[in-house]
Amino acid sequence: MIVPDFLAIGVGFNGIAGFGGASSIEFRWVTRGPEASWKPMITVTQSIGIGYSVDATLNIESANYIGNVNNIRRRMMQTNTFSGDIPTIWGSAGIAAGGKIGVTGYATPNVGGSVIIGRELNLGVGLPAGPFPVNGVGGTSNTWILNDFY
Amino acid sequence: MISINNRKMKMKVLYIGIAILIGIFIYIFTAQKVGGNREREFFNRFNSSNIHGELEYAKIRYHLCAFKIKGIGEEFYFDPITSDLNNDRIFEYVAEEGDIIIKKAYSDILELKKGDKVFIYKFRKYND
Repeated sequence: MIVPDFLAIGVGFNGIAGFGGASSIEFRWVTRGPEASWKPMITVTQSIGIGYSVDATLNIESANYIGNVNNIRRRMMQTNTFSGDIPTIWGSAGIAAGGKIGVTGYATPNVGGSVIIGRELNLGVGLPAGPFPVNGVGGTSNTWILNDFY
Repeated sequence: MISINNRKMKMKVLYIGIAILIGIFIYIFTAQKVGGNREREFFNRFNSSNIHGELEYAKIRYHLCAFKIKGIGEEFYFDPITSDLNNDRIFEYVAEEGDIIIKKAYSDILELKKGDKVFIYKFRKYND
């Protein structure tokens, strides 16, 4: 868990107040396994969630595959519930009062017989939840590989 | 009075946190069980099939590689291993319509014939 199997950096927008959606686009790298490379892929992630988070952030992410490193594949980065994949679940919490700092955790089950666990640092701008300078939200997401430079 | 309210609030937050954690564990456990059964079925069908034909398409599905052979009504799913045997080419990136796929029943390898080039793929077996 100390050495990440996947790294990503991207930008995202959350529009969740009660119920809502979020989008992000990111560069991703696979850092371990037979398909590891310095060449990135571009992915887009679409989420739905409940809670409160209205923000625009830079997202810095690392993730680990909880299984044999030889089973890591680049295709693991894609989760598409529309074609039958089991969705990623995620939760996020942060402080927002004009500026925003937050953390996000996620889990993608049933990947290569195991699970991918990820965490993100979110930095940017965000609206507070009324008088409280906090954000908290959870939901599910899909990720698509738009282009892989491998 | 204030400290009692604070304590109740903290307990409430703790209970909600525990409930969320239990929910996450149940979700992951169930997903692994359902997905694992599906993956076992996919592997058994792929492993026992004698496949020889022209590729219709290859794509990512269920975090695996899905492909269809012309004239066969079902998709096959497998987890090809990128290695020296295939010049480090990822199967779903190199495989195109019209390529020839050959895999004998219970064989450890799948051959992808692309013009005069042959790419050989070993694949992850269920429970590896």
